[in-house]
Amino acid sequence: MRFQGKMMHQQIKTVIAGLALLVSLAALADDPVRVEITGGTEQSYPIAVTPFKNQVAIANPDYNIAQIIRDDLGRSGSFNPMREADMSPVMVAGDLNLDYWRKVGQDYVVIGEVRPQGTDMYQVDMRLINSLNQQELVARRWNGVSGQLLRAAAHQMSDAIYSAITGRGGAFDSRMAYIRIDRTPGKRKMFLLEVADSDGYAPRTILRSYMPLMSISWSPDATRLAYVSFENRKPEVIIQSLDGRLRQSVASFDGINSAPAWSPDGRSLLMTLSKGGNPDIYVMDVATRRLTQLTFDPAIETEATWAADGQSIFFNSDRRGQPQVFQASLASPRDVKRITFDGKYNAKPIASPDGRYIAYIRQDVGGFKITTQDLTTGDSKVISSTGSDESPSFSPNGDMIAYSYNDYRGGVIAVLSRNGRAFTKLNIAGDVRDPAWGPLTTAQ
Amino acid sequence: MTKLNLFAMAVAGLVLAGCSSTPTEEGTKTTAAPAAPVVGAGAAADRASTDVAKVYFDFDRAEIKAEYMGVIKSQAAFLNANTSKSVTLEGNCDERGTREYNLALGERRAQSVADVLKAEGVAANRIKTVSFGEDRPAVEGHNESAWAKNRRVEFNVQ
Repeated sequence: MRFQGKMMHQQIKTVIAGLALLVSLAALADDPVRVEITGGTEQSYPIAVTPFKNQVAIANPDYNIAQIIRDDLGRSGSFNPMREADMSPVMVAGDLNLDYWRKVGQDYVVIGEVRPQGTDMYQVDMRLINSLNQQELVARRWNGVSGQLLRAAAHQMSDAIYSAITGRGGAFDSRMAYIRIDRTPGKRKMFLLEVADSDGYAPRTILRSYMPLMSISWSPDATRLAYVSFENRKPEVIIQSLDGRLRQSVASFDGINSAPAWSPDGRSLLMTLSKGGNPDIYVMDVATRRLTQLTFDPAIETEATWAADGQSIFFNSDRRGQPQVFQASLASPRDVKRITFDGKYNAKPIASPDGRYIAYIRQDVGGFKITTQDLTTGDSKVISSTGSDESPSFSPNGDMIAYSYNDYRGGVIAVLSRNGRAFTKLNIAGDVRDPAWGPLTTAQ
Repeated sequence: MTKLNLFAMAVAGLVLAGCSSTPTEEGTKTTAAPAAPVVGAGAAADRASTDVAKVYFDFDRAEIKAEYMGVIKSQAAFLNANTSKSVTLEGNCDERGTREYNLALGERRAQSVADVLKAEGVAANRIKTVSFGEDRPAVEGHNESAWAKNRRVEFNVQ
């Protein structure tokens, strides 16, 4: 059986790759030189997302469905999408020829078709086929899609492909909140709170302020943002709903009111307050505004984030002289455990949704870098090649990390795959920073 | 069968999958979104920071360096001679490191200066501290000369 043979071949390839990694790790054990092993045993799936038939029916070039899917999958670091320029036009135009796609190394093929359904309304079919065993993995139809929703539909297709192949949830049909700085010459500098699609498209402004904004946190139901505003010349914690109906200051005590972080159940907010004389971490019950103090050290405690299970927190404390990440359980917050030991500056932790990793900012010789740490092994790894990194934020599936850094023209928001393999600057113009990746918009 | 019939497969696939999912309503919210509120207009615009006394700090430190004790003592002398005046100490950081930690570090710097003022006899109720973290740089720039000018506490006497 030809196709079974192919499947066997693929499994063997995976096994061999795993063995090769074990061998190289053993060889490195006594090597004092630091070697970065990116990717590990994870595969990078080759996939050909062919141009959707009748794509020309959609006039707007921003709505190239196949390209949106390729860009999504590429950003994840788990896929290696074939460039359209590398695809044979004959094979793209004709009937699906799995022999061809298999020969050019594409284990997976996506085909699709667009059909107009009246003015600015479309039906779109998308199918995912494993070219090795000819199995169809996804066949779905999006009906009555307005032009405005075509990008959202494309992101849903990316999510369907991602989960069918990797077995993990997708993250593309979600939003990114961030801060934009408007430096229009001749005008007073302004700070804008914006929300865009997870790939940076379709931004809309939620708030404009003449004073700095920072520290965005999404409510888990994606309806509200908590953030810090200096609109009254001091840092305050604000909650604002995305529909514009609600905006209120929930913490404006003397001193610092900062670093809000919404709990996984949506009921509480972690925050940093210095009303007691020095910055400590508190948890606020959002409904009653009741505060419970969680840290008590005279040093700086801030940048608290929830563990995935909501039972403990990670935070930054300089109680040992410089910033390091610690963990404390809500049940007994005085039992504090140090989490980071490598490097003299480790700050701004964020936990992955599956609870396995934390990401944070480490200062090393190359500057301030996105670093991941496997909580089961304690192993940490610098994964960014930029050096002014801030504000790491996990994608809802934990496979990507959004962050910001400065380049020659100002702040840039980028997405780095958690395995460090893929780095993508998001298509957001201007001086932008402090991304906060929102929850999935649709149930999967 | 190495070449599949697209049409036959499409029909089979869609029937088998049995789902005809549509994008959710979320995208439509963009049209109904209200205009974004504008805040902070009442807060004073950044004044020229050349006209106020400043104390500078090392990276990730809040200790007062000996060379700046004179600046603080002369401010204390002015406040002691002008008892109707009060001071807001505005703590700032350079852009390096994380934003919330820098906000806390800016407050700690302002408190370091406040401690010296109090030791020089200025009443605590005439001293306020505020931190702007790394968000109000005196000098825009991504190099040590800019950073050195941004790690500062400014005396805002009123």
